[in-house]
Amino acid sequence: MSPAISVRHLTKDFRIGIRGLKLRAVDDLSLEVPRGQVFGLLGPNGCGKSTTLKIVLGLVAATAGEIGILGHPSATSAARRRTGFLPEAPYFHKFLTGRELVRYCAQLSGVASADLDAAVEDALGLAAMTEAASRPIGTYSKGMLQRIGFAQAVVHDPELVILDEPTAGVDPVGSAAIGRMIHAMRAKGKTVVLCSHLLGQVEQVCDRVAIMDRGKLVLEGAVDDVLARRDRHVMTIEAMTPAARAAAEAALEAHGAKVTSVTHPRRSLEDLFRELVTGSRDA
Amino acid sequence: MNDSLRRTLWISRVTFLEAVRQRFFAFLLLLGAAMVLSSVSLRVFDFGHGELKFIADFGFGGMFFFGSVLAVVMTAQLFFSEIDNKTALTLLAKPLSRAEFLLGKFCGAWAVLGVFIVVLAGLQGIVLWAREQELIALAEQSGKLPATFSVGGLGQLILMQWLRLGVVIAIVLAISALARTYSA
Ligand SMILES: Nc1ncnc2c1ncn2[C@@H]1O[C@H](COP(=O)(O)OP(=O)(O)OP(=O)(O)O)[C@@H](O)[C@H]1O
Ligand SMILES: [Mg+2]
Repeated sequence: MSPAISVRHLTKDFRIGIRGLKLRAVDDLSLEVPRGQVFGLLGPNGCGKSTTLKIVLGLVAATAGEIGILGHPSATSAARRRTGFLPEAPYFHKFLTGRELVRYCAQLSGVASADLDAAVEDALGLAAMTEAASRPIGTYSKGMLQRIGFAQAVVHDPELVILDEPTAGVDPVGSAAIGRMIHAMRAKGKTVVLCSHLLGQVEQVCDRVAIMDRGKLVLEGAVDDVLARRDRHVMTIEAMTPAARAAAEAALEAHGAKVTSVTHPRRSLEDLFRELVTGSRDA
Repeated sequence: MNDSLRRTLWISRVTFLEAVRQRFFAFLLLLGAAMVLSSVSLRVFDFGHGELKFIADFGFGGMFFFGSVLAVVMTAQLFFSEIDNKTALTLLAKPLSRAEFLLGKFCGAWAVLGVFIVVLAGLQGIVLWAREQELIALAEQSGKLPATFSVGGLGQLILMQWLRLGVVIAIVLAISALARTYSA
């Protein structure tokens, strides 16, 4: 089966100003996103992540290179029907209600009118936006905007979901919820591609990651392979005494192993936050 | 083709809803209404066809002026806030052609102006009718021929205004589209 997304030797130059100064946003990028996985695209600000996603979606024209999306060359109508997109910092029609927006997007994406109501309510439910769905979007908080954006991206049950910074401006509880939505999509066999600066969350959510820097790909691989340091080991020990520690070190040394550091495990601030806080008001 | 038409209609519908819910629309509608109502105070002393025509011209002139403001602002908003603010990005990622998008926006904006004109022209009709009754009463007293205005004539004026405003939207749309291709 063809990969969800394949990008070959993609280059994008932006012309800036009237003198036509060139800015290379993406530089000879080659990448393959397999189906059924959660793929994270990482990198510092301005390294070309959003530009790459927009080119994949056919919203921006590439300077050079080839794109394949769900087996289609570039984003044809057929490919778009099977793709959902949440743009970064989403702005939607302020005067529509959440439900109207999702319904509108479902219609435009070709959901049959018989299935429309069910699809809209499903998507709103998945994004935990059912309660706020009849309020105008102009009154939403940032987290709700991201979630309604998620609902609009998945309402037509796409095979491929592309999320550009789905957790930007969302509190940790909300972004954990978005993480669960992403897992739910994967459980249904969908492919999810996301950009994020929250590396901790990317690590938890993604199966594969790619890291870009200045428009170039610097690393790509399965999260477990990329992160595991197979030459080092960590033990977590309870009720340790100095005597026990000395004995353990001696025993390890007898086998040629060496203890290089002993520290206390820390929980992450995120875990602590989530333990203490029950949820935002609009979650 | 059928699908394409439906998508265009949906875009028009949402454009229409959005525009009508904005305070700006209500504000211009009120201004226009104030203008039409103020035409009641216009009195020309030939008590005849001339006066009704004068009131109508004044009212429709105001309608065209405020309608043009509405048309320009709505269209400019599409290009300078919607497209730059990436509202359009969400839509353009849908299976949708740019022609459908633009045509939908055009029709939506045009429908908004249609409502704008019909409401104001309705008001204008009432104003004209009231003045006509007065004039008829006056004419009967003095034995002159009564002045009249026709509903058909009013309908024609409405249609004319609406077509003119459609041209305004089309021109603004074309200029902004050109400006964007040269600036981006
Ligand atoms: N329309 C445009 N015109 C000119 N330059 C652009 C345009 N869009 C993006 N760029 C430039 O391309 C580069 C890559 O931008 P891009 O938005 O893809 O970065 P990003 O990786 O998504 O960053 P962030 O993490 O901040 O979202 C940046 O240097 C940016 O200034
Ligand atoms: Mg970005």
